[in-house]
Amino acid sequence: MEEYIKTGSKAMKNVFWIFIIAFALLFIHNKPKGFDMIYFILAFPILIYIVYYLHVRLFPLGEIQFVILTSFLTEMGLIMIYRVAPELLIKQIIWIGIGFALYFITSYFLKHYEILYNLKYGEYLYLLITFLLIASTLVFGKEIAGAKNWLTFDGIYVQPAEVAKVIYIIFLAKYLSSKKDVNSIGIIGVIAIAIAGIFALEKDLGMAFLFYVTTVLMVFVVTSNLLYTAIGFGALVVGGIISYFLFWHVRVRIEAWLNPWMDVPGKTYQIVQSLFAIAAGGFFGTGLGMGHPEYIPVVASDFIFSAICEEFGILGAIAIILVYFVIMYRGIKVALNAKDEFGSLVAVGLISMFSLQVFTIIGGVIKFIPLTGVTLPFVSYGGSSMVMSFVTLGMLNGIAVGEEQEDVQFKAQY
Amino acid sequence: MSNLKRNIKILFGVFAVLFFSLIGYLTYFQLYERDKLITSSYSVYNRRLIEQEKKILRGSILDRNGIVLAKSVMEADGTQKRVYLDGPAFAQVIGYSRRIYQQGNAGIEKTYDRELLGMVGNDPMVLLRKLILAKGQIGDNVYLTIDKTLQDLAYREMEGRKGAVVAINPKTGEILAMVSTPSYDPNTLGENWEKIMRSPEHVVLNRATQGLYPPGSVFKIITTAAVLTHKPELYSQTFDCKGYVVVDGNKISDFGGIAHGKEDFQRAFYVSCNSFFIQVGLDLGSENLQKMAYAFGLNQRIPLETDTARNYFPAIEGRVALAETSIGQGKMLVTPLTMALATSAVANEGVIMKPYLMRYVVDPISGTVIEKSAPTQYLAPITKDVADTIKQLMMGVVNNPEGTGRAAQISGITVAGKTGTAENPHGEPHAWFVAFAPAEDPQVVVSVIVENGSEGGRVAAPIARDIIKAYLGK
Amino acid sequence: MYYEIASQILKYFLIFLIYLFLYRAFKIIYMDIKGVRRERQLTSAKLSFFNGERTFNLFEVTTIGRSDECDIVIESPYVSAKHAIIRKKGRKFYIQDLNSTNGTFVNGKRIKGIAKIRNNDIITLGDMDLKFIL
Repeated sequence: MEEYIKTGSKAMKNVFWIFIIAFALLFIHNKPKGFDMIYFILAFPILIYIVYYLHVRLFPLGEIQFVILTSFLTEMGLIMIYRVAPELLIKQIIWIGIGFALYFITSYFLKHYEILYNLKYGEYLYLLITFLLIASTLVFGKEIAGAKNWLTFDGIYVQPAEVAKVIYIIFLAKYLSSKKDVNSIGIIGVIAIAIAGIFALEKDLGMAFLFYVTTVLMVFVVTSNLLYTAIGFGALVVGGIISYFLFWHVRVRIEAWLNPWMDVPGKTYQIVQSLFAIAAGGFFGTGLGMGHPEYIPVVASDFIFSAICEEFGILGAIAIILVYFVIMYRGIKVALNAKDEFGSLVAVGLISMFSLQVFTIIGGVIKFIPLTGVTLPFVSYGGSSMVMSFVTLGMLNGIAVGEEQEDVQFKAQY
Repeated sequence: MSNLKRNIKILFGVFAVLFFSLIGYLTYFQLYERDKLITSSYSVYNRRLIEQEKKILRGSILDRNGIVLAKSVMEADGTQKRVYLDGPAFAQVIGYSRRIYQQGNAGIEKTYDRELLGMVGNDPMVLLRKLILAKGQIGDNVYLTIDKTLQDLAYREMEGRKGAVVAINPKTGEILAMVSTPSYDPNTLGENWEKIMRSPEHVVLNRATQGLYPPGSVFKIITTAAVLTHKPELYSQTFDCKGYVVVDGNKISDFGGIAHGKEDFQRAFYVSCNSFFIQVGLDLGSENLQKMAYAFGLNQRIPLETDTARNYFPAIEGRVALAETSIGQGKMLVTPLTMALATSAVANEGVIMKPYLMRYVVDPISGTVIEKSAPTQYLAPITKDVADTIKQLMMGVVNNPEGTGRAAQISGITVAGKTGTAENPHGEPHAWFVAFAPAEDPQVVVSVIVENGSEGGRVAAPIARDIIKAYLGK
Repeated sequence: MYYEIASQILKYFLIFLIYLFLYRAFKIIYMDIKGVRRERQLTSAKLSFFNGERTFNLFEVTTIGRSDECDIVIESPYVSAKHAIIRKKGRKFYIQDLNSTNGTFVNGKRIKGIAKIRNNDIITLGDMDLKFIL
């Protein structure tokens, strides 16, 4: 036990030193404007230390790795955001703070996740909320960077789809843990296609993909039925082909993926700039402040991974992927150890959605798969995504702690 | 529940595969796609390179003896100007950089772009040295294998003509001269871009590496090599030349319709008798001939640092095609560099060295050599014995009273050569001459083509002679 | 220019730190698989003072002794610093004497090495009697 905690603390120390070195360098490179920024930057290591300490105390058998790994990821995000868009830094740190707070709150709430299961007519409620959230932007939404997936309240931009992700997973878990017959699966299929369709209308291909594929994977996990899975992926391919001919924005994405050189100054500008950045980085990167990640469009959100590739090299980038791998592993662990099927399914859904999102955006910016604009969890700039990523892990932690319910006396003795 | 657990584990496997495939692709990208991407012509859109270039004084290009051929000077307003000191003679070899003329890049300027920008081996220690030793950043200097004196001579000889000259060291593959005419002045490329690029005479084309011509009688070297390798008994054949030969009803004449009379292999080679070689070719068979042509790389793209055209050697179908191919006519097309390399196999005991243009790259501040080319073998089409026999034949072409290449004779030096007069659909035949000297210990191979120059022995051979003479200092 | 050199050198250091961090993240996974944390898992078994004064919960692995490092600390001069260890294997519990000065007794019998313990067994460490409750 001692060693376990000690290793965690050592990892946190690494996070701290990376922070100190990186920001010491960056302060020379790009002098901070105003004391506000310095205070906020210094607040970050204090924040993660408090969070780490609290987590060890409050959830001795919780998923402490979540805190360690998210500290690292958010830190890498902050470093790159300070590089490319320092004016966004304070906001991002505030979002991280809110995110950690919500992490603890959801952890506590989800310890008693049976409530979610026992809620009467729960599945209808969750589904209704999901549709309302997704459709809200279609009606009231604001179009930013080509996709109509934002709501704005007094200058605060919210992506309802990020919230819908979690609610939808709860719906799926509830629904699938009770109904597994052919008709029910068919209904799920219709719902998934409807959701993907709404997202496609909003030009939010990334979300359409995430919701749809997560549904297919959950159906597989519950039914073990390869036929459903095959039909699910088959429909994805067919849908892809249909939307290729139907929607201009789908066609552009796929063509840009197949031949990024066809229109470099226009349609493929983003992906080509991203590739240039990755190429400029090489294995060890250009060094902090030595590259030009600012040449990539929307670098602070969707393309932040390319910026990391440029200045930290693909060695840094591979480390990021491995960190996501560990998070994925922990999530799967939570799903395996959950005390009932519902808990297991919620965990599987959450971690699938999360991992798919990571794969989609990283694969997109390195041109491994067609590019769809989703954020890189914990790293990209953006409040909705940051907060909901923390909620996701908070829920997983809650499920993990929930299984240890009977051990409440632990603290009395330790 | 156990099924559920199994499925969750499967899901873990799926995500693990997805994540590791990302890592795999990133690694692949850095190993194989990265250099392509940085050097590709699309990198016009890569503002990083432009930014970098603006800060770095582009390195110079020098000849093998350190004479500056191209250099950059900083203007008063902080921009750079590229100066080509020996413009037309080196225009196609050196090429131009896209960052000087936004529209494109070519030649050494393209291939060694990163070196000229000092972007190779940019580790902290090099940076440290540059910091201590110099104020600004300077790119690295590229030293070519070309000898400026020889290049200028070749250019003077070719001025007013269309064609190309290649001189190489057969023992190393170093290119000593590479001229293509007509040429242009790269110093005016900025103003005259459209005019130069769209010139009807294709002045930007490097005819030595990208011009494709029928080899004509020069190909008889390869026919002979095939005979000696695959059917040596044909070498002792004699033949009575009537000035033409009829193959399947097609009459193929000797040049000028001259009947050479009774001749053996040696004499047929000296006088370049088509009738004889057609007969030999028919006896040899298309398979043997084709095999030897491939061994000489006549179906390949010659590897070089700058762009080269792929040689064209279609499968020989039918006796007429075989007859035409034996004397270097027909459908095949080769570059002057290819024929220089074929000749170097004879000069270098059967081995063709890989040609190269860059001798070394030097950091001008510290003087450290950053890159250096090493001679490597490219092809080995024939044995030393076959090479020696062909060498004797080629010496006869220049030194025998009946030889077609007598114009290449130099007193005190034994020159070996082969003429060619390539019939083509675009008017007068192209004049070819390939040669090497001294025959006892070959130091230089020269390949000359003059488009529509008529007889190789009369037009091309004297050019080769002057270049050999100058190189060997006689 | 000096910044450039600093950045160039520190980038290797940063990569090193990042991978050190990763190493530790994976080490934690390794320890989890090895079950380091499981030893800390509580079991339903309890050990209580014979007089009922205090009751301790037992872990999968529980150490007993006078020293602060033990899971159950008994402040008695007759108890050795590290006196005994109780392990759960499957559903059964075993006690092992750690070469204590005054020995470990189960139902009055001094044990040598390892002994199985059952519900309501009396365990004596030095002058202390404890009751094992499953």
